[in-house]
Amino acid sequence: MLRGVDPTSGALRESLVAGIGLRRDGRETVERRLLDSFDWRVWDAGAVLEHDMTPTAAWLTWRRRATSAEPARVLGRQASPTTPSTAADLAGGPVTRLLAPVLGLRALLPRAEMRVERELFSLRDGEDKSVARAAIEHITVTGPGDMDDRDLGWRVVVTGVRGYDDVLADLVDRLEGAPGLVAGRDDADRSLFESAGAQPADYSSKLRVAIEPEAPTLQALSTICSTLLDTIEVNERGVRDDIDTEFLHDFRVAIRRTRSMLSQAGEVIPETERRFYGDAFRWLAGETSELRDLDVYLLGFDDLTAQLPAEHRADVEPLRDLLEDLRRDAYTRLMVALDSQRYRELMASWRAFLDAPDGAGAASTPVGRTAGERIWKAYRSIVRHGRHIDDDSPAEAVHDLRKRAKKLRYLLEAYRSLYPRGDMRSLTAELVTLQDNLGTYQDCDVQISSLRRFAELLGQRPGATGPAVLAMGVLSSQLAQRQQQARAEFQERFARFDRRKNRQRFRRLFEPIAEPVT
Amino acid sequence: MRVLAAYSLKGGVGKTAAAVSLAYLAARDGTPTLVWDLDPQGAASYSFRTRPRIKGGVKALVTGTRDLDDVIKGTDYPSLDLVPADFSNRYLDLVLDAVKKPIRRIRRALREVGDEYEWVILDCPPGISLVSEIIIGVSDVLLVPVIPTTLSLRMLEQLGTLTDDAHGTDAVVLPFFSMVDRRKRLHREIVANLPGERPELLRAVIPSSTDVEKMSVRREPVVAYAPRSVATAAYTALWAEIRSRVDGTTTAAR
Repeated sequence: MLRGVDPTSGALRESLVAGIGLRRDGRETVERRLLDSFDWRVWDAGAVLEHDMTPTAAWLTWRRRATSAEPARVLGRQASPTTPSTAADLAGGPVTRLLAPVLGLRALLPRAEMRVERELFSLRDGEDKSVARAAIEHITVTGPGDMDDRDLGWRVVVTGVRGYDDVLADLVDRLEGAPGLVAGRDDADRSLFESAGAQPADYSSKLRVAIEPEAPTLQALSTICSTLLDTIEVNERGVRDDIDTEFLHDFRVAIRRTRSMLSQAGEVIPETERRFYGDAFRWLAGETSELRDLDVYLLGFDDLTAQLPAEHRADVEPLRDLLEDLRRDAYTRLMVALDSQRYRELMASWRAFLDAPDGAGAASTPVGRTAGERIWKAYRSIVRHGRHIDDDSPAEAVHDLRKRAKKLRYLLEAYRSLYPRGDMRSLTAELVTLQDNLGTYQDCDVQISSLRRFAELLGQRPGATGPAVLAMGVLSSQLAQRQQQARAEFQERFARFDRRKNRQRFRRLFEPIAEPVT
Repeated sequence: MRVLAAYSLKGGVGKTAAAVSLAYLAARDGTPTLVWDLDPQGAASYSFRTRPRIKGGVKALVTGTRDLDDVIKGTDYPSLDLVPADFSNRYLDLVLDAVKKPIRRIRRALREVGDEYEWVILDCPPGISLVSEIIIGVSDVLLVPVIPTTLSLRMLEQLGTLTDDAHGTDAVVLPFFSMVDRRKRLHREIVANLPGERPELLRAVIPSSTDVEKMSVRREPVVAYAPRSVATAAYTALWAEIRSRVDGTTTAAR
């Protein structure tokens, strides 16, 4: 609980000690870092993660932020000699247990750094035990990175001791009468981040674009693509610095969505521009594939090889070494692409185009109509092709359906704001279940071919790679089995997607109403 | 979460001093630790300056009317919390006898706070009783202070019988020498010779110490007010040894 403070803290100290009966407990200076992922996962979980260091100790605190209903509460604390960057850096403990599921694959970044000079007080009971604590704090924000120190002034922070909630409430009441104190704002945490130049929850990997149904299609397209371009640009730094694998993932997804928008644009964007940017983004997507594929293999390496019989598991380590070497090369090649003139020009010219787009054809048609048409068309194509797939159909047919499903998904997400939220959520969820099945099938296929390629590369390396290749053969056949299973489940999954309830919903939302003939 | 019970057949052997000191050492590293004062004497609570009173008495905790969360008090030390003693602890035997599946109830109560604490340290009432059986049933470690007299061996044997009889316990029994007075020849001899017959005895030895005796006057853990004392060094070594014994053998949290 926070209270703003008048800088003449001498009078304040007097009133705390003599007036309220707090005991002085000394001073300390804490170097504090507020940690969160690039996409603010800790903040979204309603908490703040602090890494504190004094000359004698260092610890992590997971503090649930105050809401209008409840004061802030420390949910976990554990020793931590260094600032962690990933969940793997942490030893077991209550903070790790809170953080790991929230953080997933993302790295922690210092979103704010500060020096906190604290003058400590405690309220004692009849046994001379502390039953509440207070501190006069002076905060100076010092980072992250190079920034001028910002003096945030003084505040009094009151913390309860577990099991003495009434005491805390009473102390807060009494403090409200102390000279120069004003109640702190609920968004005090947000201001701490803002003082360090960070804006909580300013980034999400989800596509969130609000468009109006009456807006001209071209304008809507340009709004969507501008948001996607923002996402590409904002993730570029993380890709270059190789902070975690999700920067590249989000970078690629934004590129993929952009390509999807371009290919769906039809006549709305003139053909020359459509071709040009389509090619350019295809090039860019291609430059990122290899690195992403290798990231995925390395992330999934332990899971994949956990399936192997024990005697093969150790044999397969040379494959990991190969993957790491390949990854390093792929990263270097991507950096060359990102440093290239072609990339810089693409980013600049696409931005310029979106700011003042050239229209053609149906550019001015209200997007409410064109979106519905596009979505309906994409949906129908899935239904038509999916119904024709049976157990004997070739693998190509399944891959093809997967691409169609992805098109529909991107459309649903891009135009989500035009339709009722509940419906869109359900339909997207239904589509995702189908996509999962199609995705598994495709992934196994790709992994099997990759393993073949890796085996060849391994064979060219010095050392005893025979056992590794043998183990990879076992992996291959396990993958083939998984692929078979996904294929066997397809009929059922598709039937579920194609069930009446979904058909009706798609129809209700997107089926074009025939224009009356006059 | 792991449960360590400071347990002995007789009182006055340095059980509470050990429980309080080890809890303090654990918490000082930042490891969230909970002490549960089950002893009706409430010596641990007294050391932490906390009044020995819990709402509803210990019965409420056993029957599940109250959760541990309702009665836990923070101490003066970060990461160290306390379930205070209550005078009703003297009826704990009766309370446990009156409910079905008492071991399960205590385990459930502990599990509810299991996510918040790495260590739960039980300061047990001395003696052999239903309480002891239950405690053995819920603990991962049984820490047993032993004064090095000729009766020690007998006591360890009795303890062996008790743990064998107790229902399906996985508890690791760790006896250690406590209140050792090196001026006494008997003490010296037993400390030197008994480990040969009883390899489970911990190597760390806690000396008899006025510093430790002052705990009841100062009402702080000895490690806090006498950090450079022999007693502190001994408890530090004891805690390190307990941790290394346990890390190899603990089963997953219950």
